[in-house]
Amino acid sequence: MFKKALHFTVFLALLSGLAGGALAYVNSITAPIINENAIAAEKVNLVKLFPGTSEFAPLEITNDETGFIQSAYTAKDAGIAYKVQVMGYANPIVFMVGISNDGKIVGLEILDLRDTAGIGTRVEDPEFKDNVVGKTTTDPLAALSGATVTSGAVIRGINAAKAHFNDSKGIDGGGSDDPVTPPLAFGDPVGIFSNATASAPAEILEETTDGDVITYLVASKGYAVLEGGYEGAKPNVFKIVINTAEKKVVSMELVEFNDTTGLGDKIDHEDFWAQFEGLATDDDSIEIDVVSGATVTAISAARALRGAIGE
Amino acid sequence: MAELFTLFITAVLINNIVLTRFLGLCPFMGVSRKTSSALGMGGAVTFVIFGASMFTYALYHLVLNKYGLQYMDLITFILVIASFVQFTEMIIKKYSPALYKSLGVFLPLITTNCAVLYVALDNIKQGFDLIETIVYSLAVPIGFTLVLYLFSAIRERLDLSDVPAPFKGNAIAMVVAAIMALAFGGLAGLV
Amino acid sequence: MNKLDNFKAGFIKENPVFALYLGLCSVLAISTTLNNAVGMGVAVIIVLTVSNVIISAIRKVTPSEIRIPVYIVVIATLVKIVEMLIQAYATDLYGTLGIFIPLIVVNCIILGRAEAFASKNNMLDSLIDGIGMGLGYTFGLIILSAIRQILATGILNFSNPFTSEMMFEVRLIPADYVISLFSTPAGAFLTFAMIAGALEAYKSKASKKVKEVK
Repeated sequence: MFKKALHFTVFLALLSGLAGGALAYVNSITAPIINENAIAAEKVNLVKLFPGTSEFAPLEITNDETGFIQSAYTAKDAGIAYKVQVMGYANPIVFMVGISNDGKIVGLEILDLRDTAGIGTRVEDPEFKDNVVGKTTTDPLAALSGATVTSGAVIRGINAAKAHFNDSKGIDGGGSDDPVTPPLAFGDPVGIFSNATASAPAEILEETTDGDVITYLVASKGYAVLEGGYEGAKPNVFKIVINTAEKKVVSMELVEFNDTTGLGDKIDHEDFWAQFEGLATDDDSIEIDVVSGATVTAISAARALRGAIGE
Repeated sequence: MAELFTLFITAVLINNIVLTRFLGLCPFMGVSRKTSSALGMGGAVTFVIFGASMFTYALYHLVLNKYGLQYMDLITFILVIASFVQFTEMIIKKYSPALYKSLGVFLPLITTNCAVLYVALDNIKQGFDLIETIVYSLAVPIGFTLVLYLFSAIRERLDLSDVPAPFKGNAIAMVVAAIMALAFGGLAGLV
Repeated sequence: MNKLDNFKAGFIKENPVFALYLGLCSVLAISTTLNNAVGMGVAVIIVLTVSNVIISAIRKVTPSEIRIPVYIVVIATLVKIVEMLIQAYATDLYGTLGIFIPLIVVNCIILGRAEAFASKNNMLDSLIDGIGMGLGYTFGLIILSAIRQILATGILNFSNPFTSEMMFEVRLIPADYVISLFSTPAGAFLTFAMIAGALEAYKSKASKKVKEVK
């Protein structure tokens, strides 16, 4: 009985050993060819990232927590190229980013992008590339305002590549993996009591008094009502807090936004609201800067303040 | 959490392993007219796919991948599956002789059920982590059981219908599968 | 049955796909283009033939109790080797066949022939059986794929799997009249049912003739 079991085990072990040997042999022949094929397919893009190099070898990625990195290649004596896939606004985005051995982002090639033309596709513009290429692996990257979903996704992918790079070189990248909010692009100043805010006066919806502090809820017509002519267009609603004793604006924020998403809501940025804080309510000359690309919505905010302060 | 749920629903309904991937057809065709044996078969397959996937997942990530022996995956996976089916057979024989008898020759045939090897390989190919592997290895056989059950119910009626002679048996089963595939195709917009 | 009858049976009467319903999984999934059919068919022929020969060669020393695991090891090794070769030398085919190449291991035809034939016959007979069954499988696969490809896309083409160059391309149905249902799973099941039904009708007519003659 035992002899039989031994016989079986030996037979199977022998057979498996032979099988393993045959597999190892074939693997040693085919594996290099398979690698070559993979590289050849990518080579066009690899050369774009590292133009001086011609020797590339695939690099196995083992510690990518994000799962964004699809594959990577080391460019001999030059750096590492990562092929990254992230989820964009509606479709996956595939791109390659090259990081040189001295920790600089040297190239960005978008391979597959199907997001909104004119908005998401701005990541293919030189403006975005210039934002990214040249930065080191410890610099934070800013998203594109107005294309935050797509550019944010790409940056998160680049950050994943950076994290792997830093990890493998022992550099402490620091900071989070999310893109930083880009600074607001301000436009021209508009006076709160100027002609621009004279038309379409805002409407105070609610007024709450708490000692010297009055909180106003003001509806002010924005782009949707005045220019867009959207069906069912509604005004934007702002919450304005004024200290009547100090005669100063305490704070301002957007409560209900009804203008164009991705354009008008650019004003909902801490830098924009910061302009309102401390404005003197008894001064006729107070003004704020509009946000470029969201002028009408910004003016609706100014109009709201005018309505709250009163004539 | 939402992603796991999506993974589950997709594997059961939208990318149903029998109706869209064509795997697990042998028991599908040979299933008896009784819905109860369909459920028994489905249960056995679920147990095997889940258990085998756990073992092969561990094997791949703890051994094969670590030592650069990925090319041994096919051989080791199928041996793990064969052993696990043998093990399952022993358990069923001991604890439910009735089920053992009704499954008959189809029980050892689970070894060659494409679905089992497919899930084991797919867990690796899709790069699932442990939780995703668990969800996927349960979702796929649940989808299989669902379709098997529906099919056996239809088959009961089919045997009493007037089927053209050349189509009797397996060919008409294929036509039913075609219609079921069309029906399930309508679920594609679910996620 | 003499060797030629044996060989012929594998094509029509005992066609492994449409008469014996073996190896269905890969048949239905692969059969979208002629290229896939030929690629998969050749892979199966190679694995089936070589495994038949090897298993026949060791049949006298293989303990009967562990014969199934032994067959599995042999077949799995061969399939893996074929997979690696395809991945290296016919990369396009590897892309389209994908996970169905390793699934050849559980293709019932191969294990079935090993158990039913190769373990009981000499190497030469096993070789011929392997080629015969493999060709029958490929034949069935080609018919199914050609029908599906023509009905679903209107064109029939074939490209060299090693160099990716198109060897011929012919449009048989104008583009406006294609029925894309046939590229879906439902279409696969349906086409298969039609062919299986036709084969069954042919077989019963043929046996009726024999009965009448008798």
